[in-house]
Amino acid sequence: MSKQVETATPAKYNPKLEYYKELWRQLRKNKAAVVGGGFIVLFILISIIGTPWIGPHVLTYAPDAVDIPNKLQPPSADHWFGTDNYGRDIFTRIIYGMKLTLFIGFTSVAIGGIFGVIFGVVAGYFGGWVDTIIMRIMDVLLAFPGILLALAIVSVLGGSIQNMIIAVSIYSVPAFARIVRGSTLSVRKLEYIDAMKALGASHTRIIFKHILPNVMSPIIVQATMRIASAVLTASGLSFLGLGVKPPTPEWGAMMNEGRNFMRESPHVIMFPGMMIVIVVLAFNIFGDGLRDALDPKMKK
Amino acid sequence: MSEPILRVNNLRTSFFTDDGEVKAVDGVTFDVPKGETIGIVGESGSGKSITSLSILRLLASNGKIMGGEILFKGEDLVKKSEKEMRNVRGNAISMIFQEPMTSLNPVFTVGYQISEALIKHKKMSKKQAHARSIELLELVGIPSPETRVDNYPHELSGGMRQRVMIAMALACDPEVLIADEPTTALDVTIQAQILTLMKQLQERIGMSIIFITHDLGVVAETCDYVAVMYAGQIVEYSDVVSLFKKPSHPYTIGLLNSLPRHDIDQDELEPILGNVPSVHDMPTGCRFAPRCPAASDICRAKMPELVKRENGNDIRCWLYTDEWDGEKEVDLYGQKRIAQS
Repeated sequence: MSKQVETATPAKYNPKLEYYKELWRQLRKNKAAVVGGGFIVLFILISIIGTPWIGPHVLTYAPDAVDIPNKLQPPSADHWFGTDNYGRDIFTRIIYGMKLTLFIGFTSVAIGGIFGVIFGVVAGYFGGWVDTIIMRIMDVLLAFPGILLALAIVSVLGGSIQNMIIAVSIYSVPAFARIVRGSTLSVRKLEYIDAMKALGASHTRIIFKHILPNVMSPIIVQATMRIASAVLTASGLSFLGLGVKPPTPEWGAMMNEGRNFMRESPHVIMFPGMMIVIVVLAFNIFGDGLRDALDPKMKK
Repeated sequence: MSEPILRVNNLRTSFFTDDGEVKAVDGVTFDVPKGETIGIVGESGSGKSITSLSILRLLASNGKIMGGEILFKGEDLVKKSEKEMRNVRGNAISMIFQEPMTSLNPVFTVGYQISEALIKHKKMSKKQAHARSIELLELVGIPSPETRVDNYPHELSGGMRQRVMIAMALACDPEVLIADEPTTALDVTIQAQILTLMKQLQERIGMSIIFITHDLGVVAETCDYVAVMYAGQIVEYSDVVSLFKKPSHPYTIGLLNSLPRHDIDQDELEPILGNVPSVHDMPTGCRFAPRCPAASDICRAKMPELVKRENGNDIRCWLYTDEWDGEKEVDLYGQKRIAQS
């Protein structure tokens, strides 16, 4: 039998690599996911262009270059997305706003995710009163509509990028905690966890080495989807004037500024709004595709 | 019987549920002799698995050892701290489980999982542990262990996985191995292989085995001593030969009688009538009395003790005591037994 296995298995057979290959195959099959993923790659490239090191060499205008005579210009060959009420080029500002949007999305989901995962796995693993206390706190957080919760936190802490990230992170925690708790509950009952205990493994080791890797798929999917809602919440806060303050080229803040001119010059709010929609959509679609690819039940 | 390495003394384990306390193990006493195998048999829910989990203190969070002692080389495991217990588990006492399909973590290679105990208990380096894992896989009879060590559990068959589980349990040369129905989930030919393997390894390493099973055939094959459990108590404890030759407790007789036999022509199997009593509604007297064909008044009124008889076996039955108040000669599933007094 061993001989057969050896001949059937190439020398450099690596199951981990095979897994990622399979994941990639599954992901590629889903056209929408490929489009979503492509957009995300594009967003990242745009963010790189929007840095102060590359931007000035590639883009004609500076994001904060005021040009009053040319204010509220409609889209044209000179100003692809038109200009705002100070004559600043909207296209340039959107490019520069991209990295801020992604930065807020990624960091707040990372922070919220880490805390949420820890809370969830601890609640699910230990159960009992630990579970009750953690999950009731999460329920309280979930009882508030997301934007309202973030609004409350920002108004307590004061409006700045940092505080906005904190607010959006806190708002992401319960979603992660719930999903991870559920998966932990099912993994905890499996026999290999008992087997590990019987081998003398500590709780910390079991949680981080044996439970977390097995609940990773839902975490990854949730994180992708959460980036979309984090972006939406962050722009919402800035639009309400509680997050990033003008003149920073943040899309929500740009829409807030353009709000007064939307009757005469709708392009001022249309383009930032459109970008928010595209980013949210791309992450959601990609997350959907990722979920299908990671879920073994969906495989045909 | 050689010097016991592990003594379980009057162990009582309870679970606390919404319906109140459930006494899953109620006063269990047995010795595990060094280098020999003791079988614990019983129906589902008789407390045999809970007994083994109590020894390693791996009970679910609502379970608690309420009394008794578990003496391992003179030290009481019940009194040890959780941290001290972690050094016992997988090291001096280890355990293999029933379900090889789910007893391995699907996201790590088998080599990694075997190494884990070695790194923790034997303070080996990763490289040493990897090399030792290959040796262990070879020891448990896995072909081409050098390639298998990097396999993931899903690439192995059920029998192979159970071998890996055994390799994991043996990694740190345990003195006691608890095997909780290790062959139940395997098909018969693989069962025989695994049992033979365990026997061989026992002779080589000299460990004691606590073998938990509901399969009397497996007991006859592997064990030196047998404890028969019923409703959380040991009802009969004897060496394996006398248990099969001349069982004493009505429950044991019933169990043996319900097995298919190939030496006589049988049309139907004869089961023990009735069910195991509900944990919430234990009979006041002998727990087997409601199902026992010979039960008399004293059986229903008072709980018998586990008493040593002259042949060295321990029996929990009024029939073999001076207080017996029923017929002198009783018929138990076609076998005659004479009352003691």
